[in-house]
Amino acid sequence: MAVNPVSKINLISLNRHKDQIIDLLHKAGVVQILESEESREASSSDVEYNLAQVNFALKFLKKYEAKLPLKKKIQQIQEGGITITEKQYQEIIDEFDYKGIIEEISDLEAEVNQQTNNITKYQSDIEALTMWKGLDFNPAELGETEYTNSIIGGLDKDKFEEFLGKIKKIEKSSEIIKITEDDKKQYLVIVTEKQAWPKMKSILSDYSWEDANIPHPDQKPADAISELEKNVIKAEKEIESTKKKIQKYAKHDKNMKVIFDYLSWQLEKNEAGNSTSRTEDTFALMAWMEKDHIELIKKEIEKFTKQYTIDELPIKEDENVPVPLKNKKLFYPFEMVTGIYGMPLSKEPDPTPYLTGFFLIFFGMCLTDAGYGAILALTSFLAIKIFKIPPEKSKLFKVLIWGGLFTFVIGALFGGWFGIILDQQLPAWLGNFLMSIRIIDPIANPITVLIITLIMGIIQILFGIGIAMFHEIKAGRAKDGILDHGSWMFFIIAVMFWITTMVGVLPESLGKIALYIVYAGIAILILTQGRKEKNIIMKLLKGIGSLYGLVGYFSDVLSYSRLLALGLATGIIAMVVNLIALLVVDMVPYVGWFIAIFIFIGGHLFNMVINVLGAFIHSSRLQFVEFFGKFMEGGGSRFKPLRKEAKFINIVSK
Amino acid sequence: MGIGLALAVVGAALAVGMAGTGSAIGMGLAGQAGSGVVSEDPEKFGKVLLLDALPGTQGIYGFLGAVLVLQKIGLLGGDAVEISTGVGLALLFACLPIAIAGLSSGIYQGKVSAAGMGVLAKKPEEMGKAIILSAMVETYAVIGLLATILLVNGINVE
Repeated sequence: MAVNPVSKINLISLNRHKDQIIDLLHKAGVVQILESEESREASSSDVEYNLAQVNFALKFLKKYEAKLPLKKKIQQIQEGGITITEKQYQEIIDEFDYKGIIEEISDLEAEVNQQTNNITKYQSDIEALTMWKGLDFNPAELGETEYTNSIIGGLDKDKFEEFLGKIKKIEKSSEIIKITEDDKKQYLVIVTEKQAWPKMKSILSDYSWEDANIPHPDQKPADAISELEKNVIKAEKEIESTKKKIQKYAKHDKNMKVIFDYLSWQLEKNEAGNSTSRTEDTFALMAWMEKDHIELIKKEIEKFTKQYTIDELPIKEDENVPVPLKNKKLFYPFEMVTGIYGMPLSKEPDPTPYLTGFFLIFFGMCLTDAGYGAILALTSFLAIKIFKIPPEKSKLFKVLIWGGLFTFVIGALFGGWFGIILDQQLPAWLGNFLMSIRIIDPIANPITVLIITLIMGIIQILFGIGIAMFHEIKAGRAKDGILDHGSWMFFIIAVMFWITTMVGVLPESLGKIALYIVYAGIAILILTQGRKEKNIIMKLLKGIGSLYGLVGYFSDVLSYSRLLALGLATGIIAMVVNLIALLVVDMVPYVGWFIAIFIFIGGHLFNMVINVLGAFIHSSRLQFVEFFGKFMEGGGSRFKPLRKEAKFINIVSK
Repeated sequence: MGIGLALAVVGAALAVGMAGTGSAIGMGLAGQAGSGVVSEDPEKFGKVLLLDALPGTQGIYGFLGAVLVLQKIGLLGGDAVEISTGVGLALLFACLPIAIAGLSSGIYQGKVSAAGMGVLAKKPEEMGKAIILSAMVETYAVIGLLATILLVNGINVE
């Protein structure tokens, strides 16, 4: 199943049909438009600006949004945003004066900001004034009079006594009044006779005097504080009333969202239009398109004009063709797993259907708890149903439903049921029944499970090589396919055969034959892997060097042992949760049961979440690193068609 | 309580302590980077939490190793088994794979997760790749845990 073939098309039509055609392509959502180099008009800045404005308004309104009750919220998610009819949509676009409203909103925002700034200013003044509270005159009254000079300020506390002594010696007529102090400074008012002022000034500068900077000096500090406090309250009230006004705008939220989607579509279309090249009367548009959609689009365009052509252009060898994935319904959700790794190249197979089975089995083995599997499948299923998640957004949940089901089966086979020890902690009939389903107990026989995981690894790796071979042959390179990949498959199977005879699974008498087959495999690899070199010595050296690849395969296979470790981790932590819960029952009198239930539910929930995450990640990793490398390079670019995707609204015809 | 038992307890303590330290440092690093992303875009908190949680598994693995040892020597809700000094030492050493691999991989996984926060900030749709890169480091904690499980399982205490 290779990726769906993509064509490069050139659509030419008359300029007067341009808007209509682009609108059609936008609605159809099947073409990825290529930018033409010749015509890059810089317009659409208007739309972009308006869009940014609407975005601001939406964010701003959200801040002041009234809280919805949970029931309403679920309803909103179910509806997938805002559902409106075509007619309502058109009405809103024509009549809703969003620019005016945005202007009003920004005025209100400015008001709130202004008041908030005022409050900050008032509060910092109050803080600065607090230490001057004791002052019972206006600081502005200080200064020069006819005979005296007075100042207010502070100097270092520990030098204050020294300073006082010095003043007393030199200048007796000065009056020094202690006002207040903080941890470093002593604040004073100094009144000096005018003639003594110069002397005083020089002493003050010796003691690094600092003039006090008191806000609102024309009032007594205590009075100023109380007035500022009144101002703060007033500003706060102001903000409250502005906020109430803003909340009234919340009713425009819905229309604003409609406008947002409208503008973003407009922007998309403008950008698409800008990517065309044009002559006086015609325009040309280059795009990628899936081959099977071309006829469809032709039919649609013919509904309104016959004056157009769509040509398929040749695709150059090195062109980066975008890759659309197209899978049957069953495999569709697993495209998200492929998507995490990235797209395959356009010539490579789409790995999605191949990885699905392996992914699910590995996911199940990482969890190995039937109880967790059932809960996971059920909750994912309910999530889709309750929230009515549309198919394109429910991929993850569908993967988890399948993962849960596989976990349920594999968990039952491995005897994992919420970590309960089946033969001790359950009534005999249930325990015996669950034990009869159990094929293997991973805690008692970890080695057996380890071998199972390694075998699965070998199977997946052989499968990967097989895919590579199959695709080479299908592409008409049968020789390369068989020599490059077939020889390795042969060799790996031979080595497996040999190992099974060694460990006694197959009769030891076959060991000799097996060994000869392995030798044959080595010979084949040496002879084939260097065939593209010209020199005979290089051919041999490259062939021998290729044997090193076995180390790579060996480490790939060992990597699958993580399945055992993660599976055991889930099981053992689940057991520990039960153990602690039971201990609590014994230890705490009367309410022990109650606490135990909390521990049980909380513990298992935690264990489940952590391990589902781990199972998903590690199962994916095995696909990406160990599996994909065998048959694909990846690095293709995603097919991103021009598509009418709504962020908020859902237009229904009617 | 004999020396053998004490040595086994040291092993369990190391498994929890060292692997837990690895996770704590790792989650700390990732969390610091993550807070930066959240401060810009609080709606990404869920995804940040996910990336931050990844280096947390080492601590759990260490705890797991410890529980296995404690179960082996009967310290979990039962009577302690008397074991020889040799067996005690063996159990201590059996704990080292997860202790050491947990410590180092936790720290480095945290660094990869912290770098992944950049992916989350700039290209949130590519977050899966950041998660996988972080999980690559965890491989060695998983393998350490596997070795510890197999070793503890293989040691005979009777």
